Amino acid sequence: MISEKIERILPLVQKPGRYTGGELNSVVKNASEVDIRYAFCFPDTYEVGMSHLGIKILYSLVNAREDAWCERVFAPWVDMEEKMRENDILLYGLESGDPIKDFDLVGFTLQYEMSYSNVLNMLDLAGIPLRSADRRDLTPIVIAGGPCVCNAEPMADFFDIMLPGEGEEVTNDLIDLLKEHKAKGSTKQEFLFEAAKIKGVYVPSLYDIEYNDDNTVKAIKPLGTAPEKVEKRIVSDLDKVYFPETFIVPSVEIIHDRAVAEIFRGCIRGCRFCQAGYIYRPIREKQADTVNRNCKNICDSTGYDEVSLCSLSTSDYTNLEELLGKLLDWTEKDKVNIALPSLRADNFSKELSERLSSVRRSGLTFAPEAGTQRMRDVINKNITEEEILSAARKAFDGGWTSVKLYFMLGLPTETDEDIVAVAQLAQKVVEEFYHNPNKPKGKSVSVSISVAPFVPKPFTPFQWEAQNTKEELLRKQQLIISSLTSRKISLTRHNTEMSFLEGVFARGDRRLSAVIETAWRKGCKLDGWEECFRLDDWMQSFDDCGISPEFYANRERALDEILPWDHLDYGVTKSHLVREYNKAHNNETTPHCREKCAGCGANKLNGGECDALRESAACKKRQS
Amino acid sequence: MRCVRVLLAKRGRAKYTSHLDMQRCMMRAVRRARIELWYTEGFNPHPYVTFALPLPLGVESDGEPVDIRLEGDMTNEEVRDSLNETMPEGIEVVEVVDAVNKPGDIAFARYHIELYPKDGLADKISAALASGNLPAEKLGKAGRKKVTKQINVSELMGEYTVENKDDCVFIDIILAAGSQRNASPFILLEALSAATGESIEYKRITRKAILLANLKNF
Ligand code: SF4
Repeated sequence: MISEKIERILPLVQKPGRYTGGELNSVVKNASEVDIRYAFCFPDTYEVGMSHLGIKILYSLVNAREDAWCERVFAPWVDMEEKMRENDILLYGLESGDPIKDFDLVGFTLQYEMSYSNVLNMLDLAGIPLRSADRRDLTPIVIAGGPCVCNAEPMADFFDIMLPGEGEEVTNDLIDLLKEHKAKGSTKQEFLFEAAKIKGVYVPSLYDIEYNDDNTVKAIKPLGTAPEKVEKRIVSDLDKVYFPETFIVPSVEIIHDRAVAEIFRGCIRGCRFCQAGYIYRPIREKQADTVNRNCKNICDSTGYDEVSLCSLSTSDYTNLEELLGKLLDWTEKDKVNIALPSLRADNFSKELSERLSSVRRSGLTFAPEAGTQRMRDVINKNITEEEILSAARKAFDGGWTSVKLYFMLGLPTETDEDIVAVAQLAQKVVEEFYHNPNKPKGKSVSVSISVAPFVPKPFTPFQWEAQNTKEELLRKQQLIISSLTSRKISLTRHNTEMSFLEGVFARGDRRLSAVIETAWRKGCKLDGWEECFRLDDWMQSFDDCGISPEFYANRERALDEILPWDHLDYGVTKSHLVREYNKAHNNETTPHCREKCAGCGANKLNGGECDALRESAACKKRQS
Repeated sequence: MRCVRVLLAKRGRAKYTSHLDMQRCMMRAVRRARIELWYTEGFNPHPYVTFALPLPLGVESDGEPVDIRLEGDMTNEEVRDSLNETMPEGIEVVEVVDAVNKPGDIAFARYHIELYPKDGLADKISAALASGNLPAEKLGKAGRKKVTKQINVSELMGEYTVENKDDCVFIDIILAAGSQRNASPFILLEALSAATGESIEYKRITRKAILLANLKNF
């Protein structure tokens, strides 16, 4: 429940419903009857955080335990923070209204680098010392999960524990261990050494990093019993893993306000720029029945009228047709829309298109990512211009009049020719519309293209590449604009300054912790929001700490350089990444996993199993 | 198809659910309760679930009317009970009735306002309310532009009482409501703050009833 102190400031802030809790299906327990209190913190606003599937899964998973209570915490917007600080209100859990500094576990999910300063701000608002070393007591233990943990070294000084990989099983292991050590009255250090023995638990403070004179990493040395390499944790069988029966139904509209179910993890495509495509391997699919049941449970218990299937590439799900059939059996009757994000253009079949037209049309998106075939070969986006155009044709045939195209700018080996080709490709899509005899009558076409600066990420074949400088990116953006000839095409550009900072953190090391703290002290927070982002303060902070951000973002690394994340093992081997790097520089493609296993190595995390591997073997057998 | 009027009480934290969010909340509750809705015909069928009078954010209510068009043969009591099984905290169906009056007939609403106490506040407020002149600025639109209009809240209010008890000041007041002439309790408090020279902080505001021009319940 919220205190009168909080009640009094709520009328003074925007959208107070974000700060009250009490939503349908939120879980309230008796604090005195649980052993572990867990604050699940999303370092961004309520609307963003509540849209995230991971928080829904872990929230329900922890609350399914009788001995633990998980509550939600989000970053308050600027106005709320101001009122909280004025009135000495500490950051609290939405379920109980209790300050989270008294909780046992304070867990943040790191979904994007630009949320790092929010973590510091939230810890401070909670009255929790920022640095792990300054938190002497056993609790609260401050932990991090999420994709950024594959290299969250810039945040290493602030977290006690990071959890590389999937959270479902390791969260329970960690809660069990903490409960035991709380009962025993262990010291924090004792607990951390024990925690580091759990598979998928990384304790940053148990590693010493040495640097060369040129500022590259010289050695990463584990202390005591800490393992040399920390292997990410995965869930082996997605049909058996915990999935919530229900979601919290927010009382304030959030960004993705709908039911979501996951259909598979990993990706068969191997696009070389895509971190998600590598760090979530190996491929594991859920059966159609399981997904269908998940969707139905959530819709029935929330009243949502839309269900979305979540994966990196929906159309690569082998059971998609079967699943759609099962879903449509009840969604049509219950008037529930099916949303299929991440559909790829190249296997967007006529059948699928027809089934889709029975659900809501939201417009169509394709991601060619690059303008020329050569450039697409380099990034291993195995899709031809003809495939893109024929997919657009089909879409126009089916009555669509607006198409969104996603591209990246600043890719390795990119030339001006590749950039001009982005505009030309968009133009060809426009022409496709006018050449189509079946185009919707009396309507005009709108093609919107979005160009995002490419940011090289750890655990991808491009982890060694130099990121384009802000200046280069601005020039390239201008080049696209001046190459656009049609008014039917609109362009969305991304903030190149944000991409620069994202790039610094993505491949940064732990010396950046000092910069992040300095910038936060200068007032940097909510950096992912244009209205709050202030690069000047960040640049000043780099300067104050004597650190060059360009060293991290714009420098090409040697293939044998020790990388700050080399002690983490995400399954995909470095030798595979090197192979892919070399192929990229020879304009060579790699077939997708169902055609042929590329030997990435991730299957070893799953006892040698990979769903794509099984299928490609079965496929070969059939062919012979 | 038949139209029923659901009267929703909104209390506690639920008062921070905005008008738009309440519409979503109601739609979802109806779906969870598996109440069969009537849908419009045509290419893009949609149901009819309409709140008669938006409730300002932060205000509680003893009964907000929501009109719903139904199919099937659920009785009013069944509609009430099935909704109450699935409502979020603070929102409760008080009653389901057949819709008789039209939302356009709404003329007034009665509010109960609880203020944090201050010395002499009740007397100052009584004097201000009796003065017949309570100017306030109201945000409005002229075409697309936002404009501020000067209004006199005294012309938009009816009967009232002011009470000082249990360390709190209570105002019970009828204010104009509906799409033509209306005044929110917040504009009243602003006008009172200006007139009394006090910064008035409210503890709780509740809409007690929605009234027709003849002051009968809507
Ligand atoms: S093990 Fe083979 S099939 Fe599986 S993800 Fe790696 S490359 Fe693809």
